[in-house]
Amino acid sequence: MKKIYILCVDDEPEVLDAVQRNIADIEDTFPIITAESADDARKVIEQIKSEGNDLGLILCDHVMPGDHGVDLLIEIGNQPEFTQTRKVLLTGQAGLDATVKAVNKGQLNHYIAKPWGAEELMQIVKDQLTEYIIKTNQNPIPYMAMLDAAKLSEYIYKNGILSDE
Amino acid sequence: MNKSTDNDELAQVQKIGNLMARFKDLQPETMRFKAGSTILIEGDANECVYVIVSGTVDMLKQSKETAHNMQIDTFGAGDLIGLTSFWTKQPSFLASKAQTAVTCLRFNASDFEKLVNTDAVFREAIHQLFISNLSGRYRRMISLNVKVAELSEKLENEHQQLKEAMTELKQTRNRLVHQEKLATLGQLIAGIAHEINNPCAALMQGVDRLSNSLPTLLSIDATSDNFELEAQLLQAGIDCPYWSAEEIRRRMDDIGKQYPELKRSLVRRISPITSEALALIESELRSKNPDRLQQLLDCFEIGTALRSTRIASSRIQALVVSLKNYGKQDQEEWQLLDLRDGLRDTLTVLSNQLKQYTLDLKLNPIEPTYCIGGEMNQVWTNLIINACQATPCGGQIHISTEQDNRELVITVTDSGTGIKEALIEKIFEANFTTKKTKSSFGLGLGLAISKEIIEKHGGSIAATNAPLGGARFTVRIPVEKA
Repeated sequence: MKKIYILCVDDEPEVLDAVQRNIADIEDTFPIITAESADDARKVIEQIKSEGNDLGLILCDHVMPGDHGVDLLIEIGNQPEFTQTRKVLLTGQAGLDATVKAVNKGQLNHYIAKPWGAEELMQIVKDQLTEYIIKTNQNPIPYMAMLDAAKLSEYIYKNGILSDE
Repeated sequence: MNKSTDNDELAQVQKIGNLMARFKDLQPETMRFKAGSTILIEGDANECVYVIVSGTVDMLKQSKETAHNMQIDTFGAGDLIGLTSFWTKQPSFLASKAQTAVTCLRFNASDFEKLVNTDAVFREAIHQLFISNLSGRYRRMISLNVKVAELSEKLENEHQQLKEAMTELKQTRNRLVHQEKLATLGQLIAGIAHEINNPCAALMQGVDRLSNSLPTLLSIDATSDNFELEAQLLQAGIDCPYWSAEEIRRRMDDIGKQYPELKRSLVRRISPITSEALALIESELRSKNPDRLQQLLDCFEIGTALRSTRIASSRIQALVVSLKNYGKQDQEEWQLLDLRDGLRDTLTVLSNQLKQYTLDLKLNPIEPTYCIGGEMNQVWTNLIINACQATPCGGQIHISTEQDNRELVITVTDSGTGIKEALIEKIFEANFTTKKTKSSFGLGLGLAISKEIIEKHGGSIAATNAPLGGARFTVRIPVEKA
């Protein structure tokens, strides 16, 4: 089975550390991978592609040395392999212009302002990944325990993967 | 009033007097007016012509705007009053008021007109009189117009000067307000920095204490159990370096291959452990007892948490020191300072803005000089913020200091688009800005104030375009020892 990765990008090691700690429960289902800049993230994405795996979610800071997070999200959104990848901005200082750009051009799915709460972050990650599973027509069964079970059940019911017959 | 014609006018009075004597029918009435009394009222119908024999009469016109009477002319002996209204049959255009005691001859208008119509000699004489009277008034009118034009020009000049003075005042006021704002901000920063400093110091001491006592506590032999391994892992956590994200990914791959049965969440937790410390828990990694491994990993992570807290609090402390220096109140005094210290403090304060640029610092040793530290920091702040705003993300900013004989040379160069040659002279003027949006420093005063401060220190500032594009600001400050 293909692995579905979560990519976290932030230039502050403390932030990366805290983010992966907050969502560690999900790691054995959705491997987390970290990068500290847009350039570093590109390397990770190449690796994910070359291994034939998927990128389910990218959690990205905005202001970083080198390219900005919003520009990275736009770039990733333009790659055919990652059009369905859920894109979340996790930032303390993306201005209105950058945020509008991310929504309009980068298909931003969610915006989290720093500082964030651990439970809030976990919930957002689960919701986004649930959407990802549905949008990409994956078999939801292996993810039901970890993600939004109610939503996935409804999806299964509607699509007849399991039927009453 | 034209005095040179006084004699002519007297002659005219005599002439008309003679005429009157000849034509007794006219019977002019001799009128005497006290000083201040009104002879004709503006706007009233006038039936008479007056010839002034002696005294002075003010001709007045009421201003529509101010409702005041403006003096239009002054008439003396030989001048005619009521001439225009008599001739045009319209109400009096002006009021006339005796300035001194006035004697004049009053002619009844209808009698006067009858005589003019019937007697050719009288008509000619009266026409001459009227024409000389009117031409006198006309000459005075022209000289008045010239005077008005001259006054208007003078007024316009004064108006212009006032306008310039006003602009200058406004600019000075803006500058002062701006400086006052910065000074207030500086005090505020210093105050906040001080407030943060104390809890930060407590934090640092707490972390140091925990880092020292926890491993010792665990490895005390007197306890029944041996926590030596826990103590070692705790210490390994405390001493653990920060790995780059790439390094962590590589280590996770290695560990994942070495111990394929481990879950990824465990692999992540193990990945920062150095190979020396990893060797200590080799058997736990292979064993089927996950609880013991969890326990040891917890110890390691307590260590890394202590390390992170220590590093974070020292970062806060370094920031606080820079903020305190940057905003210090006593920096408003002349002090012997190394300009590089202020530059470094400014860079720390602006570190968030500078994150997006590659910073190239070449701070060569320079002699300390007498300067006002707080003001110099303002200059550095302005130059560095300008450089950031002129440079696209990912660009470069070079800052250098060096000593050129008795002068200190500080340059700030960016890799932006540079300054248009036509604007290079203008950029130090107040209110000059190329920034489209108003940022917190967007008064357009930055460079004007910087120039003022540097000149106050006996130095100079110049803008050029760097050879490789981008703008370069060069500040030269003479070394002052006292």
